[in-house]
Amino acid sequence: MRNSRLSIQKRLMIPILLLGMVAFVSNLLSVYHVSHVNAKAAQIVDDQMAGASALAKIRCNMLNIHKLALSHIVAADYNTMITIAAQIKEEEALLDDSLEQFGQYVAPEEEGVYKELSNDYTEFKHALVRLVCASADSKTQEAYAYANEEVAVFGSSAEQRIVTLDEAFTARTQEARQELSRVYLTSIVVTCITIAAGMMLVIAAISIILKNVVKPIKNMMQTLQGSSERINSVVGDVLGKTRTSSKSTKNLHSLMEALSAAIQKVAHNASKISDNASDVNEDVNDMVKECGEITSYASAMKVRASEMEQTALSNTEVIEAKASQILVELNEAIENSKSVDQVNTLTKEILSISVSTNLIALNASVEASRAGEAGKGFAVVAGEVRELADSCAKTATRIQEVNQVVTKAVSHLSKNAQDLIDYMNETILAQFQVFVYAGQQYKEDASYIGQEMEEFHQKSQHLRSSMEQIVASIKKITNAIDEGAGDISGVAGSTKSLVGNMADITDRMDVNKEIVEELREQTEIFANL
Amino acid sequence: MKQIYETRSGRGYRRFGCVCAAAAVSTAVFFSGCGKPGEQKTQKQTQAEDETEPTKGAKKQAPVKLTVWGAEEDQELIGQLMESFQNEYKDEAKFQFTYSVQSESNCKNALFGDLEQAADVFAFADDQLHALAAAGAIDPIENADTIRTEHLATAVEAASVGDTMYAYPLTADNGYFMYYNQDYFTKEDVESLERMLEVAAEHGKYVAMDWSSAWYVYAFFGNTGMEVGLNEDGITNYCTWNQKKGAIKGVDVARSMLDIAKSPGFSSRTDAEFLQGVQDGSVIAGVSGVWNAVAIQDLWKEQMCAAKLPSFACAGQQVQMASFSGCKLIGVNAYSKEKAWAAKLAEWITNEQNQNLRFKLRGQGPSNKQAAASSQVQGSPAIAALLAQAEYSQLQRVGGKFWEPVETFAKNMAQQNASGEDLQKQLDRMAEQVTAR
Repeated sequence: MRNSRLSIQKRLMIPILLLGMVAFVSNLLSVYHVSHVNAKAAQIVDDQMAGASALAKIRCNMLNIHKLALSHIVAADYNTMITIAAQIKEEEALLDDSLEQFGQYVAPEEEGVYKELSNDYTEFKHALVRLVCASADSKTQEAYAYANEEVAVFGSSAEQRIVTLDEAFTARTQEARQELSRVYLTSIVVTCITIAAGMMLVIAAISIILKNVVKPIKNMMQTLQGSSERINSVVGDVLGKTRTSSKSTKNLHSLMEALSAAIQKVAHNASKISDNASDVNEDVNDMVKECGEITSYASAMKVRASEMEQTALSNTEVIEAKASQILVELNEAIENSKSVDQVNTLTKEILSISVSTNLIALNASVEASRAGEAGKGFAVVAGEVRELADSCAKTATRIQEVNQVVTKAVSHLSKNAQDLIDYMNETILAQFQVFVYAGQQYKEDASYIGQEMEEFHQKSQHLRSSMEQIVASIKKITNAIDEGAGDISGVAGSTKSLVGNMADITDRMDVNKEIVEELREQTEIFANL
Repeated sequence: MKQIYETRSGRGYRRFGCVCAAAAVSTAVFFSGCGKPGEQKTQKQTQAEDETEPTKGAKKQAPVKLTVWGAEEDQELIGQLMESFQNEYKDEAKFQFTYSVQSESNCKNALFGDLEQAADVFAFADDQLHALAAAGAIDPIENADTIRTEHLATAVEAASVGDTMYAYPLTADNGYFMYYNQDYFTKEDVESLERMLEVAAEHGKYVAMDWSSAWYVYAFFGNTGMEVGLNEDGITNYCTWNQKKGAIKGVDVARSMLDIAKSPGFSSRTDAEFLQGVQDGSVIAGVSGVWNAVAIQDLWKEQMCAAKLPSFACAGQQVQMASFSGCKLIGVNAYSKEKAWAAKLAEWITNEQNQNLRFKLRGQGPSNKQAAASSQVQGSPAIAALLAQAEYSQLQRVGGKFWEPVETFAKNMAQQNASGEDLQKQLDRMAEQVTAR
């Protein structure tokens, strides 16, 4: 057995070693050729291309400087000139760098042209300075003269050197490219030979492996595949049964969970009922208390109604007595006022007297005139008496007018007093009668409410004792349901654990099946050899 | 001293380019540590080894070569400043200074002649700032925030384009006012130009003013309601000096100038001729600036007085004479090989201590706030007159086309309209040329 395994190892190693050697040699040759090609390409890029690029930059910089110099001449203000002068200096700095950089790529045979280019550039810069000075000094013609002569001459000369150098670089680049092509062809030939040798070795190695390795392994694998299929069949049966058990357990677990949920719902509802019953009990207590208070209030209301009735009665009597008294006094006063009429009588008498006096005075005057000179004095007295009589008559007439006004006022006063007494008897006393009646009705209503509230109070006390008994009973029911729900949850937990265990067994059986499948696939690889 | 006087009387600092260039030949070289004065007479710069920030322990390196351009009268002062600068930085570098005489008013032309070979540090009048910045001859200064706090606002404005500072303020006195000899004039006399001319005529003397320079001629137009100035492009001008309507018309000013020119007590003469007149006693008053303060003091002694410009009769009223004002600045050449050291030197020349020294030696008004506030500066009659005139002065901001037409017109006025041409036509032509693109 040991000799056989060593033999297989050797048989496998020999072709692999041969292929490895061919690959190694082939790679060494490739690296050599690639480095050769790279060196040539680098030479082209570094020297020729970079040099050509630097040359292009020099040409571009000189062109820019020339353009800027012309812009400086045509600039219409100092600020623009200042900006352009600064740009020229920047371009000159770039050109200095490019020229220095280019110097690294110059071949010995091109040194002379390079120096000439540097000299042209130096003169070009000097001419530029003169141009810019003339331009800044508003000497436009002079500046144009510099632009067209010195700057143009040295610029063209430098351009010519650049063209010469560019041609030299192009020629060198061409040579380098041809060399690169030669190296490329050589490497292609060597690679083809290496590939041919490698192909021959591959064919030989395949033949050895088929004969000495693949065939024995294929036989061994066929045996292994048979065993694997049998194990797979057994595992499949066990897995089917386990899955059936697991399904049943899961159903059981679902049922237990549903039951537990229902019981918990019942317990929750019972708890709610208990809470509600307690609330109702409290409300009943409050109601009993409120009934007591309302009954007390009804009694007090009855007392106040009696008091109101008495007050109304006594007020009515007082007002009646007072009205009668006022009426008597008023009538008496009106009667007294009639004495004013006597003033008229007296006035008339005065008027009568005054007429008489007037007549007497007239007679006296007549007599006086008859008496002549002796009666003159008497005539004067008679005149005075007549005037007095006239005056009395006027005064009496005035008294009569005033008396008429007074009589009219007393009559009006008497009428108003009578209206007031009528109002008191007809309106105010009637209102007091209504008050008395309302007091009586109020007292009767209070008695009725007190009686009814007393009955309601007794019934609510009975309701309170009934509610207390209901609350106690509901609490007992809630406790019993809570205990039952706890037990059912415990059963559901156990069922869940059982479901988990069944699932675990199924998973492990799946793993067993996968292992068998993998084993079968692995052996199939060898079986297909 | 003459050099400066002539530039002031020139056409806005431009006319004397050739003269100044010739004067620049009188170059002095100052060596510190390794050189002797007069050893070298060339302005050419040699290649510096290091253009970046100066480093410590640079004694072993080659000397830092710096060329400075300044006024002829500044030669002694700059010599002292270079010496103190060398002492300040003796541990960091050795310097080889070259000082060349170059008029501040003509500095721009000299720089533009060969900018890359020009001075590292130079003094110039603020009206050249825009052109120098536009040519890239000067770059924005690095420590602008510090400089801005140390100097007077007008000087900072004069050294800036927009909000960017391009130079270091040196003086804030570039204006003009009236010098007079109090042997001849009372303080009341110098309030009216006509009265001054009467007094001078009575004594057979002159009141001098330079009408060959548009810089001074501005005095007659500045406060008349007519305007001249720089357009937003920074190059072209606007000018209403030929206006035909208003309380004062252009012709009114021209007539007033003719009246003044006819006065036997008036003499139009350049700054140099003015000093000559002071010297020979023929001139007893004149319009000039602080640069002549020391010279006039020497000649008139205690009799020298200075006051704001007087008023003059125009269109039936007395009009206060106006003036241009400006500053002198120190610039650093953007193409200097020793730019970092050049910037340090520029800052050194313009610091408080050295502006005090400048006032002491040259009588020039400092731009540094601390120096300007010193009792010596405040007590100077010339500075006091300049401050009194400041109310009627305007920062000189006119384009290059301003000078020549105005000078042509004013010269003809000084010659009592020798051409006989209609005054309005002359004014129209002048305004047209001033505002030309």
